Amino acid sequence: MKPRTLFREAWATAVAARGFSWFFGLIVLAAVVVVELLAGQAEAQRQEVAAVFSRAEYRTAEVIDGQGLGVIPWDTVQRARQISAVTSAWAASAAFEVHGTAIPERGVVSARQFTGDWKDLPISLTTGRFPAGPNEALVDEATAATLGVDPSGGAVMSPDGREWALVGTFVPLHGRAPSMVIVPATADTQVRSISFTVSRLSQLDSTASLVVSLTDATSPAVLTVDRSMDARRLDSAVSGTVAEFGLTIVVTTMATSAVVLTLLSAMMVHTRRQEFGRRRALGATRSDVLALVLLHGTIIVAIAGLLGLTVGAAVNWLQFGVMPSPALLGATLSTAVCGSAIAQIPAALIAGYRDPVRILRTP
Amino acid sequence: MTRCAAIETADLTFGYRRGVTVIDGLTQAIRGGEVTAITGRSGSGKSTLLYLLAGMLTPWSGSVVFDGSDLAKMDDHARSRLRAETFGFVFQDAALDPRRSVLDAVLEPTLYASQPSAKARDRALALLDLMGVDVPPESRPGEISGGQAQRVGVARALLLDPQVIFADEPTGNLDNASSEAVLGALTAAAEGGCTVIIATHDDRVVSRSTGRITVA
Repeated sequence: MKPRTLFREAWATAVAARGFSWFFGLIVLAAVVVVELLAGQAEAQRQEVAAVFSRAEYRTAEVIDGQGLGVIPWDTVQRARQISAVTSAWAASAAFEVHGTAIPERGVVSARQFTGDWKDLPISLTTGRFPAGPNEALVDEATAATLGVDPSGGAVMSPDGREWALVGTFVPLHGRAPSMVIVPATADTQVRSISFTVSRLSQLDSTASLVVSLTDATSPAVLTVDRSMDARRLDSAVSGTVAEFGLTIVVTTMATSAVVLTLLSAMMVHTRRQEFGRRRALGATRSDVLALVLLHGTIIVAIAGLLGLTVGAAVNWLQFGVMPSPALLGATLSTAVCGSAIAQIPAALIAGYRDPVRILRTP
Repeated sequence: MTRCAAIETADLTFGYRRGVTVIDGLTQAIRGGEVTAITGRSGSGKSTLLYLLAGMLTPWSGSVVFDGSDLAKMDDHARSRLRAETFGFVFQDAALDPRRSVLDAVLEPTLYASQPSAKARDRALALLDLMGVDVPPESRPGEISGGQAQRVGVARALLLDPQVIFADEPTGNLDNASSEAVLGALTAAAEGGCTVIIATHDDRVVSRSTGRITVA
């Protein structure tokens, strides 16, 4: 049969065998919708996870001179800031103790000296202003309460008698932000660490190496890179788990659908055996019959698949706010069409290779 | 006008199961342009011989020669082409697709013979008229009688002016009027040069045939 004739005949058969076509089509439609919804849900979860791990806290690392070797020059922070992936950077001294000057018996808290652009610090100023000179300090709100200091007129003092006037309060924006008391660095301050935030989590490792290379450390081993060590790994693990779960469900759905379609096709061929016997007697070749069965199913799958993709995309958009990628839609449709074609091969072979004489002579 | 086509068998042997022979060493010449009846008691192998002559069964041994070619030596594709382009079939129970129209049924051979059905449509309608099938061509087989269905089957067999028509008990389930219509059409086809081979146990068919093969 000519391809055009074959297609027309397959279409005419699909229309004539409405019951089977509807049933077959509905199974494919349901499978495609389920697959697409699962893919959409997995994508929504992946985006949710990605959003969590894209927070500044997870994109911030600290290169620490833990041994106090003095291998981090002050200008490292400016040079680090010039790295394209770095969105903010600051350097800090080792922590030291301070106490409030008004009520010293309220205890001591940690303080650190900072350099860099104050606006780069992941803190939110709640009262006052940033320090304008070496003898001014900021205190976070919780610490201010602990010390019982008044930022509008209070001060903190180190054990060696150095005093800083409090000019404002702040709240840290995340867990890796400076806290307690922060004061401007001076020329004789030894840098203990450089913190930096990158624009994407994936850039953190490579940027940390770059920052380490900016220091005077003779070996990277003398410096410690402190970051949310598990963030990236956890991100990959969660995304991987979500993807694996989604894939398992998708494969299970596809496999179940394929089995159902195989059985359905076999039933269809059995109920239409007289038709195939007649076709063979009237001159259809085995390949004609085989192609007719496959094409009949493929036409239905293509239509049902397209419909399923449309329905699935609409539900995804409404339910999860996610529009599946064209690549995913294309892959789903291709898999559905190819998978169903493969699922129909046994039935098509039965139809094509059955002895027409036996069929025609069997009531 | 179709040309007369002869079929010859030589030492033709066939069975469905090993050791159970249905046709045993049949050597026979079937003249072209005649109505040849294959007769015999029930279960003797009339239909089997018909299907062997049509190339739908492959003999265990011997040959079926049509137009100089041994059907047994042709591959399945070549035999299918032969059935599509050169042979016509009338089945015992008409074998019409219940979901397709009467007109579609008559036009079905054009699908396999790679002929445009649009051209054959007028001839199909004329054949339906000739066969006395006075129902709308869009009718489904379930809407017509058994006699009418068999006439549709004959119209289908005649559509492409085949050289040979094989008919398997074409009048087996028909009343006199329908039998006459079917036989009349097949006889007319033979008069037009077509070779008509009918497996039958109907005496009316035998009496109107010019050739006869009896299978034991």
